Amino acid sequence: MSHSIFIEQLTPDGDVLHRSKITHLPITIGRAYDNDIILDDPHTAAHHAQLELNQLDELIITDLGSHNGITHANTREHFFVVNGDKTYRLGHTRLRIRTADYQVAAEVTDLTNHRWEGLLPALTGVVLLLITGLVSTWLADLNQGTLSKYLLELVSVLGFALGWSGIWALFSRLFTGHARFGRHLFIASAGLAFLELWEHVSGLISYAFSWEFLTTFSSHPVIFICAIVLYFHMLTAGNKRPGKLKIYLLALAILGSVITMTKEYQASNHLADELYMSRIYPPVVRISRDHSLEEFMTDMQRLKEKVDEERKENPEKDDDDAKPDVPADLPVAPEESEKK
Amino acid sequence: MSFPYRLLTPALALAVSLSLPSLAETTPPLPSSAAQQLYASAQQDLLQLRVLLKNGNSQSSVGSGFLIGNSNLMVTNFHVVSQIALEPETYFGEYKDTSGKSGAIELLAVDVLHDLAIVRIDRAGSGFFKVPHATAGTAQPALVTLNQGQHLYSLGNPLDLGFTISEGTYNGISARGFSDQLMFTGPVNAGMSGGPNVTADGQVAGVNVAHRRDGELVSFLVPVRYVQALLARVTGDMKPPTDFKPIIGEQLLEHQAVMVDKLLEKPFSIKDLGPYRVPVRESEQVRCWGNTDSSAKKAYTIATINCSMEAAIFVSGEMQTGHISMHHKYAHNKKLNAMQFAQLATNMFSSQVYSTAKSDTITPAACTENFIKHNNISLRALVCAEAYHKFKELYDFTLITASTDDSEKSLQSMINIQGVSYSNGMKLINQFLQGIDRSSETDTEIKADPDNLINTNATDASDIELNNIDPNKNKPDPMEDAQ
Repeated sequence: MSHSIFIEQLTPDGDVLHRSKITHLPITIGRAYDNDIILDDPHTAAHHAQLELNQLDELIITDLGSHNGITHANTREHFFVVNGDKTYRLGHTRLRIRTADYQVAAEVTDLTNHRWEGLLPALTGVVLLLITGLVSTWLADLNQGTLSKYLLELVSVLGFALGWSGIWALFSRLFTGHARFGRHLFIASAGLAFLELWEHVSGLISYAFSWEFLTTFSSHPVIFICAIVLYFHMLTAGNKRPGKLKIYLLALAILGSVITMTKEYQASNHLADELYMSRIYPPVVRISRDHSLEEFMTDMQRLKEKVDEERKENPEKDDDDAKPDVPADLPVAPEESEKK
Repeated sequence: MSFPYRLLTPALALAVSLSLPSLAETTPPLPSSAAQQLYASAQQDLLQLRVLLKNGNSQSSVGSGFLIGNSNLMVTNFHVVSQIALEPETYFGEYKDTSGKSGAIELLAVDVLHDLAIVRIDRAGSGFFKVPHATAGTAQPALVTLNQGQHLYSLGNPLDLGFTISEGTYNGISARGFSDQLMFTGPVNAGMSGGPNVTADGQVAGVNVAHRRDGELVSFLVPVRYVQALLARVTGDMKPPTDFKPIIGEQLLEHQAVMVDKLLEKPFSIKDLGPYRVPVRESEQVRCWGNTDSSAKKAYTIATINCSMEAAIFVSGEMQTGHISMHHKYAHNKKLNAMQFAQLATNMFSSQVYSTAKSDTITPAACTENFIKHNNISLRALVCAEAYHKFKELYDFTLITASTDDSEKSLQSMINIQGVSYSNGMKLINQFLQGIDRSSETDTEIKADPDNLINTNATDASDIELNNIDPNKNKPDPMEDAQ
């Protein structure tokens, strides 16, 4: 057997911790120093396993009578025919064994924009923030405020974004050794700008089409936008499992939405954050049709059933039982019926 | 030589400080001999009434009352005993007389609209307070006639300090409510509620009920004729009703019918706000006032008209009903961009209506909203309805509208209706919506019309203080320790 064999010790996540090249067989694996591969795992035996070729010329890994044994996919066997794609667990040690002729996966397209680092995204973020800040302050500035008001608003928004991105840059630095502050600043700024944009767009759409739910359930899109921003921050900070991260963040966002709705429901008996659409826009925005006063009054009549259902008749008796008692004792009822 | 002057200064200051209060208080005259005599003969039949928590025996509300003739019937205000009427499982009542003796009370009849109640106690009156009455359905005997300026005397136990008599004058009938109240210019303080008000010769003129917080000595009495009417319906040995809620509900339902009929007996009057026309109701019961904010510095002007009924019906501490108010706000753009003006309209339109799931009185709101077009105007309208848990057939309504036909002008209107039947609520809201319009001519700018609007400070029912003591409202809550 002239082929080289590579024995890789993996982390539970599948990253290679240590790789050893073997040129002769058989070899032994274990804690003792006379092994070819020495493990530092107290859950392995002194001589735990042996790697050899069987009569069919297959590479096999055999248990040398250890206490914890060799398992693959939680099944313990005395020996396994080695497969380069599989991981074998010896105690707490995960091993992957590949020969030199193992076919590696195809090269992955590099989607990372390596130019989009540093000053460029940082500046873009700052510009986005300034535009968003100025537009929103201007829209809300009904008393024709002074320049200082605008400056104060911008400084506070910018301060928040810088602080936020700073914390993420610190995480990135800790996990990947690379701060990527510019990118984090861009992600934060884009998130804020998108939130602002969404507020106006959703308001306009809901007013135009009379889709009240777009503004009355305002907090849920915000929660999901925040989850997306977190996703990009975490990806930038070195998360290697975007698939799992997506699921976690989606679950978190759904949980946030459910909590918000529960809170609203307990306080107001409505799931929405607001009772009604309070946005008013210029008449040109309107697309939905007008309703007549009669239609509106018919809708109002329908509410009666709803509120009557909500009415709780306390420990009080039903009206039908109570009424016959009343006139006998108190001549209130006869007089009232006269007035009617 | 300077010595006498030094002495003189503090002496003068003392004299001034002593004499000033007596000089200032010219309105309540010094107690006359009439008051002395009245108190001496009335005190046996004058009582204090306490509402206590069954659990813990601590007091929840305190008022006054008086025994009628030689009977065991005591008259007081409904608001003094409302907790007993609505939550008999939690509260009970007790009387205390001027000599300190106390005993149990039993609620026999209530008149929520006039704020009266009759309770039975375990002793009889000496016959001082006479309210002649015949049985219900027959002609009632004549009662005392009052002349403006006549001296009247209110008795009761103000602020739980002790029994007092205060002197004042009769000043006619206030027609602000849907039923008459007598205006009494004299002190009626919290705790005197339910106490009698008598003429100099001892005839009952009315029952102390309320005073205006924003005025001086402006107090109100329930006319004795309502006491007479209520007394005609009870006897000293009758069996008290088991549950007062249906009785109160029926009285409220009857009242709202009268109230809405009166409000709608003629169509709403129409006022101009810019190019818009808005409905208002001005009558003895509903007062309107207007306001325009058009300072040159501002980028927009806002004109408002608010109309509100001054009287409301007290049902419990958490629930006043039988009240209607209307509000119109007209914003006109001067310097803002159309999107900024839209933001202003949004700010005005938002957070006006709420729904609560935590009230024991009303249900959460059920609402419907839409764009509507009628007459010459298109509107965004929202209407919410809430039902009363304890009183069938009674509802609260809120309607808010915002005009949607102009990017430079915004008319926003609101009507708040408390304690009416569903059909009456629909009727009022329909009439109100019908009244909102825009003048067809394309005129530029008409100022808010301040004619006929009373430019005083806004007053509404919340300024009228009922005269029983509710320690929960005034003190930092002594109940907490007891529980």
